Amino acid sequence: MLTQVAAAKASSGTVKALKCRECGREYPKLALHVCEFCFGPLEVAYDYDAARKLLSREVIERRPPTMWRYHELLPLDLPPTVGTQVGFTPLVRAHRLGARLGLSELYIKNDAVSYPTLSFKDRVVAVALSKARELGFETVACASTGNLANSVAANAAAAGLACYVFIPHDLEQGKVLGTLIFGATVVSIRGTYDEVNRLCSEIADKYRWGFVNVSLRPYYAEGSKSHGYEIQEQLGWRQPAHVVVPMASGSLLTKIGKSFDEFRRLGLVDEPRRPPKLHGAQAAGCSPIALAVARGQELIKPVKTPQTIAKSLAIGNPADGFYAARAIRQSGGHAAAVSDEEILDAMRLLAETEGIFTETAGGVTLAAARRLVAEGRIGPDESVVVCITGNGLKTMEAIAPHLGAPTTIGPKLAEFDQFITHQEKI
Amino acid sequence: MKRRVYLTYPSALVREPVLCEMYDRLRVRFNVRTASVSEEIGLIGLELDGEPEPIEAALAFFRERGIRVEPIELDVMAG
Repeated sequence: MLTQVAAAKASSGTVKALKCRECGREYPKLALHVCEFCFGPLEVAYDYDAARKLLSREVIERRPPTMWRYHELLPLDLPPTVGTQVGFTPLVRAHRLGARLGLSELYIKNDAVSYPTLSFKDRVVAVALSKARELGFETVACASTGNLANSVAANAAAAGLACYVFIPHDLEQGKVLGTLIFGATVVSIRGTYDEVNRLCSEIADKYRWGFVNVSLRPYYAEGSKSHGYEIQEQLGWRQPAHVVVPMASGSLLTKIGKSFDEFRRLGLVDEPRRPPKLHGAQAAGCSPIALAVARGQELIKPVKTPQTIAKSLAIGNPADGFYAARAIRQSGGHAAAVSDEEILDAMRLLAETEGIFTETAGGVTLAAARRLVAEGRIGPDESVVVCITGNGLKTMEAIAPHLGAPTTIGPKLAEFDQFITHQEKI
Repeated sequence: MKRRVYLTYPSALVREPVLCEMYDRLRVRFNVRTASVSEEIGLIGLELDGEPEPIEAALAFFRERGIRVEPIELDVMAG
């Protein structure tokens, strides 16, 4: 196993350094996440001149259909060792849903079928755990209420890494099971929302593990760009006019924006009439970023007690909220905060029109897209991609009470005939 | 030891010299690394330097004044 310093020196050529988003100071490619000078978050910086010489549409198309076909733009210095099969989920042309929304060119980027744990977190975890191995970590950890926990536990198991997962004490049993099954050590923390967050931060600081969403955050977050790269390639090397993205920490939206910038910069896509508008989606019960966008404010006002059925998006003080709001504004996009009722309606609409069962976060995204269309922010003949990031099987308790029950009949054809006759009358 | 935190001020406290009051009372050395203030909210990135007990007392002092105290990572719990 390489030491941290040895791995940092073993550069493949396209990954330059970590760089502070605020003051621009550069740092070596170690397990660092904030600037020592201004506390700004660190981000991976690339040598785009080197990447331009290595990448073309033809080169990428010849590679296996995984997120690693764009590896020059992902932050590893060595070939990936974890999650090597992740990515290249379907981009679905949604004719029936588009007709319902009044959109002629609507697409669903469907990470509800991501391998191996049915959410886009598989992308970020593949990068974070591969980097953890490069840096010599033998133990990885995360703080999560669901999808991230599932993915870290599953991928750590496959990689033979020890794994600690920190969760709030009141998490639904189904979500806990989806992590325990992989043999992770799951620690349930009793306390308020703020106390749980604070303790996880202190644990990450004290125990020098590969904490994927803290100490490895700069690398982890870059994995989200693959969702955006795939959208552009699957659209035939072009960019959509609009993309609608769910926001929790806000990181996914900023990274999709970065993926669009990078492909334009590298000449991999047809030059669009204008860059895509980035639209953010949040639940009304926890919408700090959407509120900042709506009010035109720079600072994000934290939500003390998030209350929504979309628990995977319920981040009260999002780490990338400021950057997400800025990316939305700069792109000319907007944000929408939708009610729980709208979320449930949207989940059913997506399932009934396109056969895609998404979790509550996907309901938020589609409901927000619907709102943006109704407000005239998305035109009927413009191309739109709605990012679906997780699977409905993970949040069944939210939708179950709204679906009714199946009809029960006896084992007689006459009873079925009667049922059909009744149905036809309805 | 050093502790790095963000302090989020509600609008009513934006004009109060809370950092000075903390130092006068507890003598915990501090260094402001970043700050941003609007009419509605104030945000300060602060590094505290000292022994664990006085640092905890300083953080408790801020909380008692109605200031939100958070690690510089903000919310680390993810979906």
